[in-house]
Amino acid sequence: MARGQFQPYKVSGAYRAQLAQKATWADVDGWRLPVAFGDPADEAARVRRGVGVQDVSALGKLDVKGTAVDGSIEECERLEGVCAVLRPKPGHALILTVRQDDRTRVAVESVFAQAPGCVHVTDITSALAAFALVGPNAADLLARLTSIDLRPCSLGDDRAASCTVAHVHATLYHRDWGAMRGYMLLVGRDAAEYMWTTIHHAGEHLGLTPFGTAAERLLSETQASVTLRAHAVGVNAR
Amino acid sequence: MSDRRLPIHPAQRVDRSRPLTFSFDGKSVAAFHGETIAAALCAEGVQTLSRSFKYHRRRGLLCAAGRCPNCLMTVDGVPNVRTCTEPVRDGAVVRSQHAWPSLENDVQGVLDSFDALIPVGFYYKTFMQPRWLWPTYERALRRLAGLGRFDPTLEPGANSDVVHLHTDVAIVGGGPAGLSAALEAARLGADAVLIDDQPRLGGHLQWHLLATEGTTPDYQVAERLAQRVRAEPRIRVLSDATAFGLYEGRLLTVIQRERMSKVRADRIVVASGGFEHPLVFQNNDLPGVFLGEGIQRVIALYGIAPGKRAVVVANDNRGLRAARELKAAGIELAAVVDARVDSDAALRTLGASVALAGYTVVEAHGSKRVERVSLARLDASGRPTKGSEQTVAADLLVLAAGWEPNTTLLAQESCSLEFRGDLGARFPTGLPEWLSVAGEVAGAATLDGILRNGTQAGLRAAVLIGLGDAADRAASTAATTGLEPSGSVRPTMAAHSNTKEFVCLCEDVSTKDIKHALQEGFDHIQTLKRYTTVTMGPCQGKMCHHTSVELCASMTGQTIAATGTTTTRPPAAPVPLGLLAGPAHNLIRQTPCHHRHNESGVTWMDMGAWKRPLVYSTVEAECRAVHEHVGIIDVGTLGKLDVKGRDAAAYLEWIHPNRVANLKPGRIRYRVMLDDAGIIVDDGTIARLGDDHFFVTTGTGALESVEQWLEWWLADGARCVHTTNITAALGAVNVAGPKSRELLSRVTDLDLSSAAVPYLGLAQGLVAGVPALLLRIGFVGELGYELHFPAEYGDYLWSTLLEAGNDLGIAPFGVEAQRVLRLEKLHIIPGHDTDALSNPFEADLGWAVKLEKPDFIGRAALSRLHGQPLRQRLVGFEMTDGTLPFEGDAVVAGNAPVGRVTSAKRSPLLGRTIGMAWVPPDLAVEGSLVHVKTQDRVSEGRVVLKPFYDPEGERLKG
Repeated sequence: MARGQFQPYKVSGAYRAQLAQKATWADVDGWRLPVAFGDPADEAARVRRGVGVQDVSALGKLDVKGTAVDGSIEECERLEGVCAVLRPKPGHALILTVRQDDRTRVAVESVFAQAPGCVHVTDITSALAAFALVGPNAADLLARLTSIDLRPCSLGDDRAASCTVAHVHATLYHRDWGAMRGYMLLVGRDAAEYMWTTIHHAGEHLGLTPFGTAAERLLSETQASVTLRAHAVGVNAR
Repeated sequence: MSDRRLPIHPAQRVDRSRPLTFSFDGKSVAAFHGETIAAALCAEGVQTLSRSFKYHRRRGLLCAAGRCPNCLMTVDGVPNVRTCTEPVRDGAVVRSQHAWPSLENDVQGVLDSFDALIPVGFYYKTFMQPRWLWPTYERALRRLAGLGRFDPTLEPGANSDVVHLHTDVAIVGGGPAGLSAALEAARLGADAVLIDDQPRLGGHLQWHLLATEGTTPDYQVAERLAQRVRAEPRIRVLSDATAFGLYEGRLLTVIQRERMSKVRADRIVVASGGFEHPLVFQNNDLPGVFLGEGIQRVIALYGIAPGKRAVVVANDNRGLRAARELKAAGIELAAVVDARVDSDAALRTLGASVALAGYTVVEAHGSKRVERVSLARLDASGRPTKGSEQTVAADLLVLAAGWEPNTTLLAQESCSLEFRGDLGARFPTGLPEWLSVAGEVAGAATLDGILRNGTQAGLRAAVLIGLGDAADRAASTAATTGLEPSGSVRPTMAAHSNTKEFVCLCEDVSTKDIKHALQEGFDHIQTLKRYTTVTMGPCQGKMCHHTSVELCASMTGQTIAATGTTTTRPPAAPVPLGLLAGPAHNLIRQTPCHHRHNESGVTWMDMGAWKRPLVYSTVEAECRAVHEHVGIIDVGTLGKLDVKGRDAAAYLEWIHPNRVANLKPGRIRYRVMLDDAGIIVDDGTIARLGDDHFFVTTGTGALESVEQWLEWWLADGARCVHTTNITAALGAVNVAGPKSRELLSRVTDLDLSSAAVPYLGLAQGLVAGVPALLLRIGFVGELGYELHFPAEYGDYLWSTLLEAGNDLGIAPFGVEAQRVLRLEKLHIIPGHDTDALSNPFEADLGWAVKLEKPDFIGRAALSRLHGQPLRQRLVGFEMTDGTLPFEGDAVVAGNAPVGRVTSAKRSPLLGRTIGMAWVPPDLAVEGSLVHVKTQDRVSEGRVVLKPFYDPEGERLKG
C-alpha cells in the first residue's frame, strides 16, 4: 500500500444510518456530508411545514475552561468563523465554529493570551455529534425526548441548556432560523446513531424529514441559518 | 332499530348515519359511530355484561363512566377493557370474561349459593391440609382467580408516546368549573393546559338535557363554555385524557390512549367534580341497577332508554333532577323516594306513581335483572322501619343518593381531607399555595356556584404567577365563593349485615363480610381493607371507599372523621405498563469502528450500553493470530480524559498511589486508582503529552466515576487543573503481535523502532494519513501499539489497517480472546478480579504503592495496612486436571470455602486451563496445590505467581 495513496475521510456517528436512508454525499473539508436524501426542494418544503433534522457534526467545537474564560469570552463571538458561544457554567464555554481548523483555535487562544488567570482550549469536534432541528414542529418533537421547559420564556432564542435528551446527556441550543423555530442538539458521538434514529422515531407523526446541505442552502436563501451568525448564549436548564 | 333507542337529540354523541358492526361472544351486534360497546349492547337488550369476581353473580351497566367493574370485557384480545367508555370499532371482537361456558349460563354461578362457606378471608384458613395437596390447590385457585386472560402472543402497542408539557396553569377537569377557571386564567394572560377525561368538554352538564337554573338546558351551557375555550389560543385542551398522578414538583401525569403527557405547571387547579357510588341494600348489584349520573349518560349521550319503568332513590336535589331527566326521556317513574323527610313538595312535582319522603331502598328483586324494588321508611336514627316496606314493580332502579367529591388526585399529594357534616362528604383542606380546587370538588353544589367558584380559582392561579392588575389581586383574595350545603341525608349503615348487600362490587365483599372482619379484630380501616380486600379491586375504591369507611365507623362506634381513610397512591386510573415505560429508547453506544465489525462476521456482546465485539471467528484462531502474526482489537470503549493545567502533574501525583509527577513528556505509566479506604477502583494508563498536559485512560465503564472523582477533588477551585472527557472524541485500536511494527510501518512515516518508541513510550503523527497518538503498551503480552485517533476517521482507519495487514495474517480479535491473552500475562481487571474489599497489597500491586510519597488518596489506610498480615492474595493458577471452573467458584480447604475464582479460561497456546483466584496467604506460594469446588465436585489446581506466557516480557518489550 503506497503511503501517498492514503485518502482518509471523515464521517459522523450517524453516517451508516444516513447511508441506509439513501443519502447522497459531498466531500467538504474531508467530511462526507449528506447533500440530500431525496429532492432538496421537497425536503425544504417539508421542513417549512413540519420539522427537519440535519447532521451538522462537522461543525468545529472548542471546549474552553479556566479562570480567565468569563472575563474575555465575549470577544470570541466576534472572531471570524465562530458561529456561537455556549456557556454551560461559569468558567466554561463551548465555542461552535464553521469548520474545525487550527486557525480558529489559535485565534481563540490569543483572545485570552493577555488575560489574567488560565485558559485551556481543547478541540472536541470529534467528541460531539450535532443535529439541527428546524421547523414549526421542532419544539413538539423535542418535547417527546426531553423534560426541560422549551417555552421561549425559559429557553429563548440564542440560549442553551444542559439537559437529558432521550436518556442521554446533551446540550440543547435554541437557535431560530429566521422565522422558523430551530435548535441544535449536541450529544456524545458514541450516541450519534442512537440519537439520529430516536429523533426519527419521535418525529414520525410530526412530518419529520432528514435534510442535507442542498436543502439548507434553499432554506438559507429565505432564513439566516446557524452557520452565518454568531451570538452569545447560555444558561443551565432547571 | 331497537325500541330502546330514543329519538335523535343534539346532545348525543352518536351518529346514526354511520352504522357499525362488532361481535360479542360470537354474535354480531349492530351499533353506530360514537357509541360505546356497553351502550350498543344495552340498546340490543343485553342486560348481563359480566360475572362478579367471587360469586359469579350477574352484573350490568351501572356507572357508565368507567369507574365500576361491571362492564369489563376483552376487546380485540386486550382484557379488562371498560366497555362503558370504549368506543365501538367496526369489526371489533368483544368477549365476556370470567364465565364458562357462557355469560348467560356460567357454571360457577353456583358459588353464589355457597357464600356461607367462602366468606371473606376464607383462603387464609382453608386449603391447608393435607399439605401435599397444596400444589393442586394452587393450580386450581390460579385458574379461578383473576379477571380476564392475557394473550402472550398479542403484540404490545408499538406507538406508546411520552410528551413533556410546561404551562402556567394546569386545570384538571373539563366541566363548568374547569372551563371557567381556564377562561379566567387565560383572560389574565396565563397559558393553560386543560385536562379532561371526556371526548367533549362540558363535564356532567353534557348529560343534563334539562335546565337546572334559568331556561337554558345544561348541555347548551356546557357547549357555549366549550366553544369559548376552543376559541382561546392560550388554552391547550387534552381531551379523552385522564390525570392519573399528581407528583412532587407540580407534575401531573396524564394518559390519553397511547400517549402519556407529563405536565409541569406553576399552578394547578383541580376541578375534578364528583361521582356517585352505590347504596348498600339486598341485591344491590342486580342488572338494571344504575347510578343516577350513569343512566343520565346513557340517555343523553347515546340516546338509549335501558328500561321502561324506574324507581329512583334520592337523598338530595341531584336525585330529583335525575328523576326529571328520566321522565323527560319517556321512562315511567314507578316510584321516587327521597331520604329527606321534608321533600314531599318537591316529590309531588315529579308525577311519579309513588312518591315517598323519608324512604329508601332495602331490596332489589329479580333473577336475571331488576323486577321489583322494596322500599322502607327511615326512622329517626336513619334505620329502615320494619313493617313499612312497600314493593314496586320496575325494571330500572336508579340510585342517585351516594355522591362524593372526586378527591383521588388530591389525596395522592397528601392533602388533608376533612369530613364536613354540613356538606356530607370529605373535602380537601390545607392545600399548598400552588394547588387549588374548584367546583363540586371544592363544595359548590349549584350551577351558578360552580361557575363562580371556577372563575375565582382561575383568577387566583393567574394572580399568583404575577398576572393581573390591582383589582384582580384584590378580587383573588376574597373569600371562596360558591360553597353550598348539599342538604343530603344518608341512611345509617348500622343496620346492614347481609351477604347480598355488596359494599365492594369488584371483590364481592358484603356488609356481612365487613361485620365479620371487624369482629375478628380488623377494626382499623387500613387492616379492614387488607383483610377484606375492599377498595382493592379495579374500581380502586371509587365505588366502595366511602361506604366502607361509613360501615367501619358505624360498626365500631366511631365518627367518620376519626375512622380515617385508606391511603391513595398513583395511578388514579389504570395505566398500561408499556405506557409508563414509554417509547423503547434503548441507548446503544457505538465505537467509531462499530459498523466495520459486521463485515468481519462479529458476534456482539453488551458491556453496559456499549456494543463490543466478543469474537469474530474462534477464540483459538484469534489468540493464535496475536501470538504468531498480528491482531487488531477495537478498544474505543476505553475511557479517555484530557487533563491540563499548571497543577495537573501534582494533582495526578496526589490522586494516584504511584509516581506521576516525574513522568517525562513522551512517556507512559500504568495507573491504579484507589479510594480513600485504599481500595482499588480502576486502572489504566497515564501518558504525559507535555509539561502540563496528560492523557489518561480508564477502564470501560469506569470513565464516569473516574471523571466525577477527579472533578470532586477539584471542587474547591484551588488548583489549576481542567479535565475534559474525550472518550467519544477518539477511536482506539490495539495492534498487537510480532508483526505489529511491520504493519504500522507500512502506514506511517514515524520511527517505531524500540529506540525511538520504547516500551511505555509514545509517538504522535500521521497513520494512514490520520493524526494519531501511538502508545506502546501491552495488555495481551505481545509487541503492541495502542492507536488513538479522531473518531470521525474510525470507519476509514479500521478497514485501512486490515487491508494493509492482509498479507501479514492480520486478524481482528474480540473481547473473549483478549481475556485469554491478558490472563496469560496475569493482568488484573479491576471490578472483575477485584472487589470492594481489594487493596493493592493483596492484589499483587504493592509495587505501585509509593508510601514514601508525602500524600496521596488512600495513603492513610494503606499505611495502616502496610506490614500487617494479609487476609488473602490474588494469585494465578492452572488446573491440573483440565477442568474449567466457573468464575465465582469457591476455593476450598476440605469443605470450607477459603477463596474464590475470579477468572478462568482455557489457553489455546498453553493447552491448559488458567485463571486467577483469591486464596489465603499460606496458599499463595508458587506450586501450592489449591482445590476448586466446581459443578459439585472438587478439582485440583496449582498456584502460579509469574505470568504464564513470556514471564520476563521479552516479546512485549522487543
